[in-house]
Amino acid sequence: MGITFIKKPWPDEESLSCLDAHVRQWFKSKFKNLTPPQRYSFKLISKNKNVLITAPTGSGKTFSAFMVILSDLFRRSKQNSLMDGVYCVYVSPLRALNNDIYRNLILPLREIRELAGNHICDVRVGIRTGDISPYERQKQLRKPPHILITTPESLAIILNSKRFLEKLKTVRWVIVDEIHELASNKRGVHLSLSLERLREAVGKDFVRIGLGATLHPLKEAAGFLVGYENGKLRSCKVVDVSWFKPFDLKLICPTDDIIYTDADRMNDLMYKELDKIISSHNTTLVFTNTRSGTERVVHHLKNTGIYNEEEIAAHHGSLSRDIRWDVEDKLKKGLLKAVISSTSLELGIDIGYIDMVVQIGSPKSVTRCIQRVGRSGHGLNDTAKGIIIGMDRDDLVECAIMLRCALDHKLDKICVPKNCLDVLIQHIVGMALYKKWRVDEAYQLIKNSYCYHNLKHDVFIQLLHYIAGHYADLEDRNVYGKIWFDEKNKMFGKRGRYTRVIYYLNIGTIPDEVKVDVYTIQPKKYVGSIEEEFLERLRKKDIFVLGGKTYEFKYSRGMRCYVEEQKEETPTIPAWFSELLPLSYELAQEIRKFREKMFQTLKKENKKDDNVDKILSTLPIDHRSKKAIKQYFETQYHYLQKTIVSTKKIIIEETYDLKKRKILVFHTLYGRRVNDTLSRIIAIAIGKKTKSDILTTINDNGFTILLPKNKNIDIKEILREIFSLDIIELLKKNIRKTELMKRRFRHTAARSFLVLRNYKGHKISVRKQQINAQTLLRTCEEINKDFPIIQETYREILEDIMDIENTKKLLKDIKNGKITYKIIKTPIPSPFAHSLIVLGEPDIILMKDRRQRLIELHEALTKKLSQKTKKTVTTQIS
Amino acid sequence: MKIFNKIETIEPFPAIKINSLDLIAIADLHLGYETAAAEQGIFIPKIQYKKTIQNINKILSEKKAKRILINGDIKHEFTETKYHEYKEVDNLLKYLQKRFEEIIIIKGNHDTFISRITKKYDNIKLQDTFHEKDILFIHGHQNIEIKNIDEKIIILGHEHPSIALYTDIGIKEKTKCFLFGKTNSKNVLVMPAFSYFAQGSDINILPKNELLSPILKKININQMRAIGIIENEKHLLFPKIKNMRD
Repeated sequence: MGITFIKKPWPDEESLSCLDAHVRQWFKSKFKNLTPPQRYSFKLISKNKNVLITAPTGSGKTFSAFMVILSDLFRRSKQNSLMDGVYCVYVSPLRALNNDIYRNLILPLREIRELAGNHICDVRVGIRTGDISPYERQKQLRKPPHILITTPESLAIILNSKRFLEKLKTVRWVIVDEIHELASNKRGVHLSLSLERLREAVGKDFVRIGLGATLHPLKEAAGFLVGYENGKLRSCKVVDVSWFKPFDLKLICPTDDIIYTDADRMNDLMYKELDKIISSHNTTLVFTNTRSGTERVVHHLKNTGIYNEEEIAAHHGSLSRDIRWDVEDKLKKGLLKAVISSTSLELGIDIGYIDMVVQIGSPKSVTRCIQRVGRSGHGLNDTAKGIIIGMDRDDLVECAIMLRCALDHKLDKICVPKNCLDVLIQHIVGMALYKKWRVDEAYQLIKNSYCYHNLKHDVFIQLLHYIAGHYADLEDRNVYGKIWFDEKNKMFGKRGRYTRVIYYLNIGTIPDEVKVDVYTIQPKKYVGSIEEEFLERLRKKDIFVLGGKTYEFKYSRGMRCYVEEQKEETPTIPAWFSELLPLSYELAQEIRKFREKMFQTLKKENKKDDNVDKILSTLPIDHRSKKAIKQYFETQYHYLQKTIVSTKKIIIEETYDLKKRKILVFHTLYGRRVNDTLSRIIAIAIGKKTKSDILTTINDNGFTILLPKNKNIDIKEILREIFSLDIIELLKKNIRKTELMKRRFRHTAARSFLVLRNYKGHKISVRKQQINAQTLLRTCEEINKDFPIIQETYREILEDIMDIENTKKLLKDIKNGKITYKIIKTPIPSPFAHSLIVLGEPDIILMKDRRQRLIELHEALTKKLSQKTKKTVTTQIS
Repeated sequence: MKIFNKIETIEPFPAIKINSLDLIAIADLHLGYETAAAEQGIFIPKIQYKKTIQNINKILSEKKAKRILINGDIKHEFTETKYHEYKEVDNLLKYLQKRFEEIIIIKGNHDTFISRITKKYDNIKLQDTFHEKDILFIHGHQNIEIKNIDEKIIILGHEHPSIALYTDIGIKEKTKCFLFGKTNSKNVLVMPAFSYFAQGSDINILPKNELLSPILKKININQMRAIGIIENEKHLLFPKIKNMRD
């Protein structure tokens, strides 16, 4: 019982003996050997075990799941016992992947049937997503596919179709693909409840098969896949063959002098490296961290004259589906020399011929790095090859450690969201549409989902009251209630004429998002547009760049954002902020350890035994990177008067920014989500003390606080104050006034069917949804501050966007003295602070100003350092 | 706070009292807003009716008058009056009847089909305008020429005026307000909305052509002043609108 890791594969012959003779014959005619995942999966699945298989792309993962199922279906067909019902449900988050799987199954189904003799009954496969026509859907009802390929959203809809549900009674297997993409977000949470509802509808357990790329911890992912039964985790066998493929990873630095190379030159050098790589490989996949970066690299490559224009393509989320499909198709046929992508190609469909992956700038997480590099080396015995081009010193350090971790198989943790009330509301409405429920029976079902196993009974009851509209007067409940709930008899069921329609048209967890138009206030003028995700991160006083100009964020209304042009202001938030993934807690921790090791070595170092070089030689990085990193650490070390940075000590630097304003730089390497949380807490505390609003900037390596003029801050006192406060309440109050809250509340309200996206045949514009959500928020607060959707919005922000858990832990450690801090005063920011000071500068590939400022900072600092050395020297002589 | 000598704001509410007319006035109640929103798929819990009654109660505990005037838009829905809306308006009128000798309802643009309810009561007057002793009440959704009006004081609704204020770091705070001043040698007062849901149009930000009221579009509101309404606080007199434009 429970979750067990299977370490020993079965011999090929034994695995093949699980298959039906004709299926085996077909398999042997196509493949020489079994692939690593197949050596485990055939046996396990044929023994009806739940399995989680993680393996890289191109490792025969799909067949590892399907082969035994095909075998069973053909056996039934031959024995004439194959019924008109769905036997296997395959769920993936990507429609493109669904189409791929469909195509990959059609052929074996036909060929095996030919082998077995065409007299036997057809084994059918079918797709059911939002794309298919009503005619198709009807056809599926009459002749259901034995293997049903679908998405989480379509599955949830099927669960409410009484007639189709009849066809699901035969389900024996459920395959969840790309589990790494689902386990850590609300889409996955939604799916986990759907699986429990399917389990209840089928009436008996089915075999659950999870497929995924590398992820960690596997126990968590397995738990997510299988869920609970009678209070106990269902058993699951975990097969981890993610690492059988060799990885060849390297970090390169395009220049000998990373500080004094100007931006144009830096770009040229980077492209030179890129050209070198592309021309020495068949097909190279290049990841940039932003969409605009993607477009610029494509533009450059097309203009070099080296490649045929048709051989270079972009692939990112903003492109239309047709263009993306076209690119994918060309990739499969091996027609491309290079394809440039932001994130869209890192998962999913089989993309064939890639033999090299290049990443420009840091991918920010080890797991992501491996996933991306894993897209190369398609053949079973090929090596996955990846190169990261580091563009600044922090990048180099970060990527060097990241690659080391990748080679050591140290991954970032996934975090499965728990007890999301909005997703639960959707399912309770769906469940009520299906039948009348006893409260305890429903509660048990929900608790079987891994994501709701700890759901408290009273929270559930409160939620039922709320969905039943019990906050409204009796006579209004048919408007506000989506279910009826009889607390005395502990029953609930469906309510309302339109509820079924509302459910069908508004199901799902992905919010509607559109661009936000940006206007100046006086005179009112349109200046461009930003992504809503970016608006969400804007805080009061933030300065950002749009169309080459700097603007100060003022306020937003609906889907409009109002700004004021601020010439000569330093941006406080980079334009790519919302696109770039945050540095993970785990990787930050590794970098922290590396820093400590480097500084301790520098302390001990004597000229004969160059230890720093030894440390650096353990990293998969080129000579230039080594040199740059070494120099970076040395300057920092000497500048901060040999202060040792350690994993147990945080440096707080009191210094001045480019405008000579006094700032505090917190060198906190705990991941960006912790920095986000902690910077807010400290800013609130200082703000209270000084009765002013405090401006902060954050990045992956720390955060800065701009101190109010003529006010003295005793950071010790501030921290003491924070220790005595309820930081969650403090943050909630602060978050309440932010864009983040306004936007996320709309998402939550939409998921909870309180602000509909689609009603009575009308699509409701995002703008209208937004304005109404704000009214709704005010009203709900008036009724009850703990209204479930308000609670859920705060939970989402504090747990999924920020990192309240690790922040609380860090504060506790500081309070207990487990982690100490040291305040250092510097006239010019230390090197490690530089990237924070110039943070808001727009782009990683086009970063002229940013580089220029970095150079200025460095020059000033070098001057300071050399003066200091001279002084020391002079003292020594005298 | 006194406006044009004859009018007194009732603090801290969006309401006025005119002693010479023995009358309390409010505007833009928009009852039934939630039901209308629910019709469009936005399920805002009902709160407004309760808030409305609460606030009128509070007003009456401080000020008394023989008459009450509602300066337009007592209800929200344009189309045929829905049952809920009907009931809320009816309940309100019943409530007011017990407390005032006379109820004057000025027709606003939202007040379609309203006579069905008002005709049940004999002390309710439903009319397009109300004028007495040099004071004119009119909702303000229709275009009229101010210079053609005989009365010296014109009291409007419809616009839901508010002012937007920025803290020194650019956070926007919004407050409902009275807007008043002299124009075309008339005294004009625009009343804030009584409705809980009305956020108001930021008159110190919006350009003229984006104002709602055709009457306001034609006059220079820059020379007018605002009185801000903040919950549980005294009314606040602000400088001329033109000085609050940035």
